[in-house]
Amino acid sequence: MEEKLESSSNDNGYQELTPKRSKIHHQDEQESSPDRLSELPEHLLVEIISFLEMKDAVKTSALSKTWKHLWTHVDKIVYEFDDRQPTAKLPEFISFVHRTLMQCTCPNLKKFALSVYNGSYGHQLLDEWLQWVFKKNLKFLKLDLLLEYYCLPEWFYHSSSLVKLEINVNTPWWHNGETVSWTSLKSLQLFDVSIGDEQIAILLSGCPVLETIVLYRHVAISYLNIKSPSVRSLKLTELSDDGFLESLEVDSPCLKELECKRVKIRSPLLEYELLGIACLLNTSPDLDTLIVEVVTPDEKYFHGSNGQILYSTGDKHMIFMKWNLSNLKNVKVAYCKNMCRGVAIENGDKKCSGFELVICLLKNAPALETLVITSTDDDHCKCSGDCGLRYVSSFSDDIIHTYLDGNEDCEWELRKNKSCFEFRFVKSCDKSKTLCNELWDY
Amino acid sequence: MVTTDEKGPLTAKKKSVIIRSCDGDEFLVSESAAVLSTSLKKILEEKEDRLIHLSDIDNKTLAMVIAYLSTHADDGLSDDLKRSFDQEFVSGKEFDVLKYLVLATDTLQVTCLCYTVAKKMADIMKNKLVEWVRREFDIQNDYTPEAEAEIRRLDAWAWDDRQLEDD
Repeated sequence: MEEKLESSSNDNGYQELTPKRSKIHHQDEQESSPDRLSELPEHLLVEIISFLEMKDAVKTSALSKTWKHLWTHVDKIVYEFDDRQPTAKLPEFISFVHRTLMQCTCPNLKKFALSVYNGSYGHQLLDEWLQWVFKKNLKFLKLDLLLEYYCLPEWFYHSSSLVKLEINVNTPWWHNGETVSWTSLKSLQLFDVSIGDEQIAILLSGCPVLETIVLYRHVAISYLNIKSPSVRSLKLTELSDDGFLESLEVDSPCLKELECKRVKIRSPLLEYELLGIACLLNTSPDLDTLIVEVVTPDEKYFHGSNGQILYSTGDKHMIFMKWNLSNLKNVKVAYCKNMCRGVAIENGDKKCSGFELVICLLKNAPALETLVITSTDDDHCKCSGDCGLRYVSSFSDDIIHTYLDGNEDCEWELRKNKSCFEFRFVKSCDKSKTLCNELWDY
Repeated sequence: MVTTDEKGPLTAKKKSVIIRSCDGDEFLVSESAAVLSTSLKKILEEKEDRLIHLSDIDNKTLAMVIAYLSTHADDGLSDDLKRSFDQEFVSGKEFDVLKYLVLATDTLQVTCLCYTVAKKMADIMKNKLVEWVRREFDIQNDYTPEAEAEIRRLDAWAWDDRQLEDD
């Protein structure tokens, strides 16, 4: 951090740095004012009011004559008609948008957001507004609207300036055959947008630098194949209203984050989606966050969060999850009923972050038959004494006290195995022995 | 033979710059922190001077900006930590303090901080009465009552929607 020095008397060679005060309108500078900071330069005032909703930005015109037109220079334009306002006011809002938007003069718009949460909006003017903002090199477009029978115009799909797009229009908005060219688009978020398999394929093919994809609700896709090499984050939530996601293939070597929440799949954890994930793990070496939460037709949840999920091809109802705890930050395991039967936990971290995961698993996975915890920490294995054993032992003691005490039909054992220590919890079940052996092969 | 580069104190001195506020206080700042300001970076690239005088920034404001620069130049801190530092940095500060800050960050061209402060100022201004904003920005109302009423009438929708709270 900085250190304060004694004042130097040497004034020679100092670099003078004075603020640039750009004026948008030519005004008489009030240099005589005793408080020279009481007046911020106009470009800063514009910067500040750019962060206001348009409704509030326009109101600053009532402050003084100097402020009268400042708002017309804003580079972020946000209009919102929220649900606290009566629908009867909507026509007034629309004429406000039209009148004020057309006065904005900033040649490079950073953001245009239009939200109408209350009432269906006649979209006659929407094309005009969008065309207007697109001509201003728009970077971020956000639309939250209820639109019926609206088609976004052809030119909408071609923009070299657009970097971020968030759309929630609750309507089919796509036409087959249209090409897409969003050459700068890095983030795409679709909420409640009906879009099909072919359409999303066309869309993705037109976004060469896309990094983030968020698909949320009503996105009617059954097959998702993401091959974009730039994609780093993929989030899927409540996909396919009435259909099921049948296949998820991701071939993006840069993928860092994958999240699937309440994604409907065809039958209790069929091979498709898990193969998709297994495939994904093979092709995404940088993946550090994986959240999977799927809804099967019989409404059972499976929710894991981890470094690696392994899938057994031998029995479709068996899911093996293997956690590498050293990278694990947040653990949520809920309702693993009938699905999560075998879990292997590798703990390479001396700090023993796996305890919560284990408790969580034991509480929420009644069908769990086998739980194996191994400590692969080199220090423990190399250690000639019993420190490794003590480590796993204290770890397992906690588990036993918290969960296993009084639970008669469980067995557990602690032993040293080759290069690691293991804690093995086995419920009385014929299958468990074979499961254990399979787990050890991983 | 030991070169000067291997001497700790000398190296530390070489990689630092002294920044002087308009009220004469001087701050020793690491060069890696200073160059996060585009203005300071340009000066350091042009001349070997290690002493930079800022004639428009007072010591309190400068200390805050330097704290920000030093935090963001710290490679040991994660991006998450830096983000939460930014949040903390602007929270609870008086509007007047933010005004000096936004001006200083503009002068020094610390774009990220400038945006963060401007956004915070906008958040405070939101839902404030016109009179409050006039007072805080020291704005003289040069409208006639009729002219102001006309402006309010023009965008009646914007003025009408909800009860505003005064400070």
